[in-house]
Amino acid sequence: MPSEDFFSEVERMERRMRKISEDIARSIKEFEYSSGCLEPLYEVYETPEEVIVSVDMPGVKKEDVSLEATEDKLYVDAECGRSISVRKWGVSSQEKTFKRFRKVIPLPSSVDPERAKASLKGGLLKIRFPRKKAGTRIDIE
Amino acid sequence: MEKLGESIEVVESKSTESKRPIILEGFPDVGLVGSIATSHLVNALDFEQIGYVESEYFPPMVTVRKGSMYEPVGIFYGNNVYVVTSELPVPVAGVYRIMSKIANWMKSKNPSVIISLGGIAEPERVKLDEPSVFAVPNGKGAAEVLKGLRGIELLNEGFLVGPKAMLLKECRKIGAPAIGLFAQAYYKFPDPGAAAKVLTVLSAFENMRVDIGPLAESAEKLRVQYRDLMRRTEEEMNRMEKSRELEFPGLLV
Repeated sequence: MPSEDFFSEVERMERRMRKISEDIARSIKEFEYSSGCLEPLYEVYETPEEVIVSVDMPGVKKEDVSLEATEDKLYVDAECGRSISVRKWGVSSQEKTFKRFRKVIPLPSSVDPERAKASLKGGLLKIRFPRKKAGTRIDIE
Repeated sequence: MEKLGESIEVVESKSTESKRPIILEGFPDVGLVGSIATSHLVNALDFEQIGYVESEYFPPMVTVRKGSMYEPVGIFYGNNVYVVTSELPVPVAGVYRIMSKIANWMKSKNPSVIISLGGIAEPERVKLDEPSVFAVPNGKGAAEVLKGLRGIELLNEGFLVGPKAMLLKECRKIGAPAIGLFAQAYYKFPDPGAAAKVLTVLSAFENMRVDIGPLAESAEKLRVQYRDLMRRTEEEMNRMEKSRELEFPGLLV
């Protein structure tokens, strides 16, 4: 049977995770309200050959998207199809209008940004980065 | 006022008279399909909030809308249909007890069927104009209800993880007929298109027929509005090992 120490350690870890989540949620909102830019939802996954990033930017058109990438980061900046207003109480403003999506997305492994390919369908941006060659192929004798 | 349980309470603040009602559940999950679908249905049919679920597992909060206060996990009623819907994901720590409590409350209404609405992650969702809807009945009674539904496929193999899985399981344990209706959806992005698809399936029931046109028209706005709930839901999905739904069952082959 697990000891009391084990349970309190699990509780401490849970509290730490909650705190990290809350810090992230607050920093996203602070960024959005101070910059007037929305932080889009995104998803990153890896295959043996590629790092694939999907970014949800409803209403965005191809010509309004700016993408830049390094070996380990993707910079996304896009004009919203239409400005988005949010009414809320608060000290700084009661109504806030957002006109852009903006996000710096860290990539989980080193990629070749020169050979990246991007597509946009229904406001869903997909970028495929070939992974940088990490090693040498080993043939089995 | 009816109260069930200790730290989890299903509170009915208004009495209702139903007869073999249908009960829908739309807790946040993959693509927020259940949340978007139930929210649209409740608004389109002008259902009234008649109760709520209260629990120490949920953060201490209330919703304020147009100057009025609401509970974030609400129970709505109209047309002999109850809808349990939520602005909060079910926390993993409370998922067993909360869903068990809700299942028991649902059973107390003597429902003709309980329907859990949700999404099932489809990695190639962007390529699908028309997502498929998969159904999971929790027993023979529920399977009979499925015969009256069009445009669905039975989910033959796979895992279900999270509140919807627990609801189906708990309902089976207590002998309440329940169905899971899951549309192929984006895993981490709000998916109004998938929500529209499950509402199309539900239109087989006359008392739940709604115009899904407004969902398509306001899809972009909804995807922006639901971003925060999606982020919170994603955190809970990660804790519940939701990605297991993408795996194949290995036992009993």
